[in-house]
Amino acid sequence: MAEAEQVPGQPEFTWKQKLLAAFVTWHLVAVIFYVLPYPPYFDEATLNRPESKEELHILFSSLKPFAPWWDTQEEMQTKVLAATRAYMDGYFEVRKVFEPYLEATGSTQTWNLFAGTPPKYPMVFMVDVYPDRGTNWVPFQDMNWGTRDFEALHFRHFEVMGNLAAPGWEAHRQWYANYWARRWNQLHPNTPARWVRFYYLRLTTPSAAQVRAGDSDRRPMRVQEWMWQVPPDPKR
Amino acid sequence: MTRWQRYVAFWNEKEAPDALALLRITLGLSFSANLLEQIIRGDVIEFYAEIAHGGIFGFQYNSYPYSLFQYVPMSSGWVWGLVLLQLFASLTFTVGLFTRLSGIAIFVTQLAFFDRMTLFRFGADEVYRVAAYLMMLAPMGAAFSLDAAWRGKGRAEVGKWARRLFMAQLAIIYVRTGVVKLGSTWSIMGDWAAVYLSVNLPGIARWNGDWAAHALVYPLTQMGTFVFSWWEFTWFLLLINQFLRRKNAHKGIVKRALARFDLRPVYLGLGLCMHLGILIIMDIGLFAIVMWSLYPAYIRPEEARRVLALLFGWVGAGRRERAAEA
Repeated sequence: MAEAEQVPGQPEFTWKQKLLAAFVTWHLVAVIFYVLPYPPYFDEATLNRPESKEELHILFSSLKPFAPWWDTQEEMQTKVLAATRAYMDGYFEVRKVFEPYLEATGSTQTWNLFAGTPPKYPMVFMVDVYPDRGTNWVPFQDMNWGTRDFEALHFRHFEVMGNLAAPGWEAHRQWYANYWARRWNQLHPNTPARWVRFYYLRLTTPSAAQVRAGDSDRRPMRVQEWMWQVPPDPKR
Repeated sequence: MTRWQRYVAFWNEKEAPDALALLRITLGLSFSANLLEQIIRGDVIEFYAEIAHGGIFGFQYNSYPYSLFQYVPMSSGWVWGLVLLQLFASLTFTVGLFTRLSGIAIFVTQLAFFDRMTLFRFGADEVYRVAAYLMMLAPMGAAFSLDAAWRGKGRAEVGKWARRLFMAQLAIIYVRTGVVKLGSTWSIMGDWAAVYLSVNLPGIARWNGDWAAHALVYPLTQMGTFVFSWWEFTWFLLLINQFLRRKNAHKGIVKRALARFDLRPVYLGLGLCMHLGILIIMDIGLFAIVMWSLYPAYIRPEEARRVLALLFGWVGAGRRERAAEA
């Protein structure tokens, strides 16, 4: 059912009405410009990761037949990546016009968080503790499916674990390690944590055909390890 | 009228406030649920307080100047005070009591919470934050509210601009999400395997994803990848469809085709199905709830009135008209 068109009877508008139209326009232009797409990670380190290289190879090998003016797939990739960099430089420069308004109104937005490509090589977070008077590392948090600690944690901790795998966040990693030490100490008051160790297991998701053929092995590979000495607890 | 006058007229069109009332209720309940989830899970202090008061992360790297936490201490007392303030404001917003003030309180606290939970936050928190700004601006307490019933704030008409901003915001979220689905697994290049890979992500998928490899299930995940990536990417068509359907007649084949059918059952129906599927298969909190809470923006006032009357058995039209007359 179509709505009847509603227009004011007066062709002239009050300054309030004009201001409203101008404000709504400004808001929408600012938001739409801010959400223009760009690669969330475009540094050399990211581009050189095996997953990125594989993805770029699939993309450009598929597109090359439609771009015969480039001699090779490599030339095409180099030119397209350079154009993307130029676009991003210009985009971020112009975006500064809108940023003060969007930041003040809490309207900055990108929607990369749940939109990207699901990784074929997901990372699983692990926490080990070396307790006081211990003789070895003790697994404390295991984020693989089906473990007790997987059930104990909720999605927001998985957000943290994903974020902490990215470069930077040194202080936050240590704070997080201290947090796990505090939780260990609550459970094991007689053998408090002396050291905390994080690492990730890089899994390879088997294809559906592999799983159907009986190969569900995810080939866990240990990557990115950090270790901290737990500061003394002032309450003890 | 000139083009500019038509443009100003478009944003100043009026409608009955029932659709905004329904949107107010769904958004208010959604905010309440978001906070209750944090309270029930025991997250409040860990997320927001300083380390000395039981928080997990320090605040020293947060530089957002509009966060309340820049100006108040992050002790457990203040943190609980702000959380309970937002919960109270969400409830008063839901029932439409001091609606504008409640919207401001939700907005201000949400900015602070979003900034503070840097590493914990995810897509839903961003949706809550951008919605809070629009909730503060829009005249959402004009009907089916205690403001209308008790405080004489009822209005027979409100500007359509408010609901249209919510409509645009929802479309922006979906279209942007669709645009960046550029990876090979969202297409035939990667065997349409994106949904299959998503249900194999430890930490997001609730169970080991081997079940999705079954010969009968995998094609469904491929179909889901195809349908939902295009459904998201083409959400702008719903906006155009609703814009064109304001008029009964159009020149041009394309305009007539776009206006021919009401696309809301398709887009909103698929959205309900997709988010329900995600809610069942994946543990990503209240993401589905906050997205669904924005859907009433696409419901017209007369439809909203029927929904509200059905839900509450409360026919607000007469009450609102009496208030407006007063």
